[in-house]
Amino acid sequence: MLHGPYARISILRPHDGDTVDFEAGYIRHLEWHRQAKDTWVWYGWTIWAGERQRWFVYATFGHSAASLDNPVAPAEDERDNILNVIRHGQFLGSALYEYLPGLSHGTGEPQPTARLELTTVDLVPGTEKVFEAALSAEQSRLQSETLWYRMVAGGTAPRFVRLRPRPNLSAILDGRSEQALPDKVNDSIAKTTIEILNLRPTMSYGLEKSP
Amino acid sequence: MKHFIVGILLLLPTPLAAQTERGPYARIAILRPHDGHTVDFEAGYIRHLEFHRQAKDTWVWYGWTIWAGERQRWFVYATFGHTAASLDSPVAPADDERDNISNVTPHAQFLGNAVYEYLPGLSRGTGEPQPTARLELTTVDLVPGAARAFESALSAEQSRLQNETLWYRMVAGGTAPRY
Repeated sequence: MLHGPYARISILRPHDGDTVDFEAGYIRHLEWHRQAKDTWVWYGWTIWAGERQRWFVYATFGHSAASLDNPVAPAEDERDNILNVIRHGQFLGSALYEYLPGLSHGTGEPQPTARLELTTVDLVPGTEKVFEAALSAEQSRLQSETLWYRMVAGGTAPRFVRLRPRPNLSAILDGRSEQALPDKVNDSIAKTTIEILNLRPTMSYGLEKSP
Repeated sequence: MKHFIVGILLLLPTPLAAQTERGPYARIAILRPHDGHTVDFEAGYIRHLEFHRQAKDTWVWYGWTIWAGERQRWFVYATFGHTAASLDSPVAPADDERDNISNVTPHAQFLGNAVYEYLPGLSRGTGEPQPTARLELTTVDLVPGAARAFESALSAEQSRLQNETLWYRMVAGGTAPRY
């Protein structure tokens, strides 16, 4: 796989009362990806803390633009989705993001840790430069994996997301000092949402074990 | 700012003394029973608490039904007084999920789960609410950057609090900053 800055992050909401069938169907769909020799890595997480509790987030990272233009067998992928996934869950969003190494600490491809803090920041229009400059100025203080992405398409703009992979909830709670954003960005922010996700290894594909 | 009065403490599965480790963290979560499913939901939730009892869960779980509010008849369940390590060690998560699927998810939607930190410097009480019949729940969403001023103003008024008043800062699980 060519490595690049782009990521796709998408959301599925399992139908009420259909969790077991949804998970079994999604795992069957990942088996289709395996048989199709998909070279992309797919992360799967369930939202644990958040208003979207129990929704499923699937994502792939580290793509060039050309790579995103060449997914594995799209027509067959869709056919298998219809067979195994759509009947048990709603597709509620797919967005394209660009990794921002100058604001981040990490490679842009999150470590597959058991927990992930996901922060979504919607900005006031026109404040992106101030926001990025303020985060860039604080970059050297980051001690732990902290990955910032700018949304390119797929939702309300300007939007940024931050991923903080952590081995457990204690690491998230004990690391709250790194959670706050710099004071300089307060006037730029329209809305901030913080969620905690649980990695689902059996609902992921191609992941290496976390170190 | 939103005010809700959450009434009728429904379920208290374990004695308050059973949870020995004390810390500042709480989990507060929301279930919305499906329309017309109230009886089945409550019966299923009670069966689920029986799973917790059999699994020897040491956590205390509060259960409230919202009585006054736009989320009228939704169910709030919560656990308080945890350390970070305690929250990392819930009782048998896979079995808990299996039992949830059998008894709870057929009758309700999970509509939110958040982690909070208790703020003793703004509060009067222990951080673990008394199991009274009624509970007033106030949710405050702040303008970004206003958290320090907000906490400092409440802290200055703390000594005037006459009755149990517990403030928590949301760590994760919704729009921030939230108290």
